[in-house]
Amino acid sequence: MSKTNLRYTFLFIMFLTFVSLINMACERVAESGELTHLYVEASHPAFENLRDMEDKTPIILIGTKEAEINPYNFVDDTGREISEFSMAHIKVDKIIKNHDPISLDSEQMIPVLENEYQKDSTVFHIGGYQKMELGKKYLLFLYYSEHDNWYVINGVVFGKVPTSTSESLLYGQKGDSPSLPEKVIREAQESYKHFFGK
Amino acid sequence: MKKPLLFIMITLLLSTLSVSFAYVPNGWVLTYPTSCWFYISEDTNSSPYLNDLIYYTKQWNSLPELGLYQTYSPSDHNIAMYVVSYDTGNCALAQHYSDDYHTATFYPSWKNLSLTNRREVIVHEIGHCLGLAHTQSSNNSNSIMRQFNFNGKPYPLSDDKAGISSIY
Repeated sequence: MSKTNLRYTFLFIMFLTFVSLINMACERVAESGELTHLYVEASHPAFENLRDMEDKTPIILIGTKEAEINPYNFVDDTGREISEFSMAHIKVDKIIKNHDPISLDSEQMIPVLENEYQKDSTVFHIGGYQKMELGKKYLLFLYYSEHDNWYVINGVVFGKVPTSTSESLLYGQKGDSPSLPEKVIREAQESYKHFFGK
Repeated sequence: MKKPLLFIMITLLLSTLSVSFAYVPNGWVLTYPTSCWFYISEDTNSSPYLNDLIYYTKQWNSLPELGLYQTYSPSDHNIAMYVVSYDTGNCALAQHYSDDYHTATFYPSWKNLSLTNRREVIVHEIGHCLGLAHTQSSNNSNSIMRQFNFNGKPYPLSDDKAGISSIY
């Protein structure tokens, strides 16, 4: 085999490896340890930028996740048993904005619905949402659901902002990198960083 | 040696690009796509929206590969649709239980959308149940399966038709 052919064969093998790596990166189902993670298709409100999210959010606060119920089971008003979400118990550390009629106080514990849950050995990420980690602080863009007596994260994946920039933001995101939610979250981390750690 | 290798490399690259920059299948494939039965849970939550849920689900019948029909059987159907009053922040959710059983759930945020956007979400969620994931953002204007925001066109578009055609 001539040197030219060897060079082309080497290039071909490198190319195959590159294509395989791209395909592996695009897989929607991943295994980590003994848990299988699944992306669940969802449609939710989106925000063009941080200003848009701030304008459309009545409650902005910094809180620490103290506990969780996963999955959170309840019966809806048609009698169906629902167990497709988890419930975080968040200790309010700092209230930045509260335009909701219900008052909030520092140190208060509030229930915040999360769009991730675990059933047996499968973890479901609704719309790519990754639940908050126990003991960690988050900047949260919320509204209160009077019907349910729980707080909802505005825009599902948009309104949960880790105070740590190294924490991963979304599960199974394909397409644009960074995605629109990632851009808005990074903008929020930069804009509110003077509140973190206080 | 050069030409065959070059040909294989270009073919592989194009096939990879077609995955990255077109419709995206989600792996859900109906066994009988021309005989797909959908059921709408009838209660006080869904009653104001029944006509829209039926009409815009059937928008997919414009594709020759598909046939969606309403059934009133709560136990024998391929797609179950629910309108609920508890709030999760989502507009809607499509869930996969088996190749031939999916659910589409619509939340209060969906009820608060404009009429056209609400209808677009119905077509979008059924698109998930038929096997389409969110399309790449470069295809947003050609697809009902765009991840964020709306086109104002509550029916399958060219990218969606190509996707269904490739799946079935």
